[in-house]
Amino acid sequence: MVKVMIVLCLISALYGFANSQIECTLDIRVNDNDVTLSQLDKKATEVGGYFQQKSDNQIVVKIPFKHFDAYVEYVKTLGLYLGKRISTNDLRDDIIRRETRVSAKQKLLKDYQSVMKGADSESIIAVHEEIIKLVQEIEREKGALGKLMHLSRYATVTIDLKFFKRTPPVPQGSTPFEWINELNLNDMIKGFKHE
Amino acid sequence: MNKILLFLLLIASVLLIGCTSFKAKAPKNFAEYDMPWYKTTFKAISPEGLLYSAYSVDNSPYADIEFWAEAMTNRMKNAGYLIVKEDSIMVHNHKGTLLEMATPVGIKDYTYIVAIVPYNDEILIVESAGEINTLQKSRENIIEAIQGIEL
Repeated sequence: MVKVMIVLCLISALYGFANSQIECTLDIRVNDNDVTLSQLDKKATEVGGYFQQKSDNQIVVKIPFKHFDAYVEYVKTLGLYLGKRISTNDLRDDIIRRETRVSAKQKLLKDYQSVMKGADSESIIAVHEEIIKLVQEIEREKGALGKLMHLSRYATVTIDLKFFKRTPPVPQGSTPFEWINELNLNDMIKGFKHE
Repeated sequence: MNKILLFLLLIASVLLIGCTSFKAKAPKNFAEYDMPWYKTTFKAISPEGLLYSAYSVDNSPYADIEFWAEAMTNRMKNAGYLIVKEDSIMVHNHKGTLLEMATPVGIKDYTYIVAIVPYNDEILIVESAGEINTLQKSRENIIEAIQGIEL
């Protein structure tokens, strides 16, 4: 277990893995959505990432963890930056658990393979069936581990070029201060329509 | 004599109704509205539809800019405005706060700027709004106009 952790830490240091799943949403406003979406896609490719999905007002890209900060700074230069939201999910426990299970099953597989050598004809069939099951389990675990490693290797960055929630703000406030309660964009716009 | 005094007082009150305790000018490239004499709000508009208005309210209960800035920011955040920037601003040697927000309006996204400046027993309130990218182009002119208001 300790060896697994040391190996993971070394790999993380070498490849810049986060051991965390990072999801980031950036809000920017630009003059030309199409041009900006192309720029974001191109930049993602340049840093070894790729786009996952794209629409007229949004793009979702996968960025290698080590280039995440630089990519975020790049996005901010493309237009009016409104803000970002970041969430992380610690994957260390899951990764260690999967690695340990793969290790244990691989050891068991070796044991079964040793037993196969000295087994009689009846036992060979039973051992063979167990080996097949074990190989399938090992492949499943490796697949799940690979997915976790991919999640920790790439940050998911969503760039919104428009508010997706179109609900207008609450027009009237409920503070103890009348003039503050009356401050709202809707009334300001209406005030000009009456001129 | 009393009747004459009363009459003069009445005339003075009527004349004062339309007066503001601040003097505002339209931002560069904006056109100023010709407001009726009884209205105390300054209004201006740009050819692209950017809006600019200024008015004052009583500073009551009396409080400093830090108090009002916090009250205003909380109200706007709770209402659902996205706070993009919060800065201090100087208007005629009086310290104020400028809040820049973003919000959807119909199919467009808008910037909504509100500046508040306590002075004497009043609070100057300046609002400006328009489509996000359009307002960005005039943002400097708007800030300059706010800073140029005489209190």
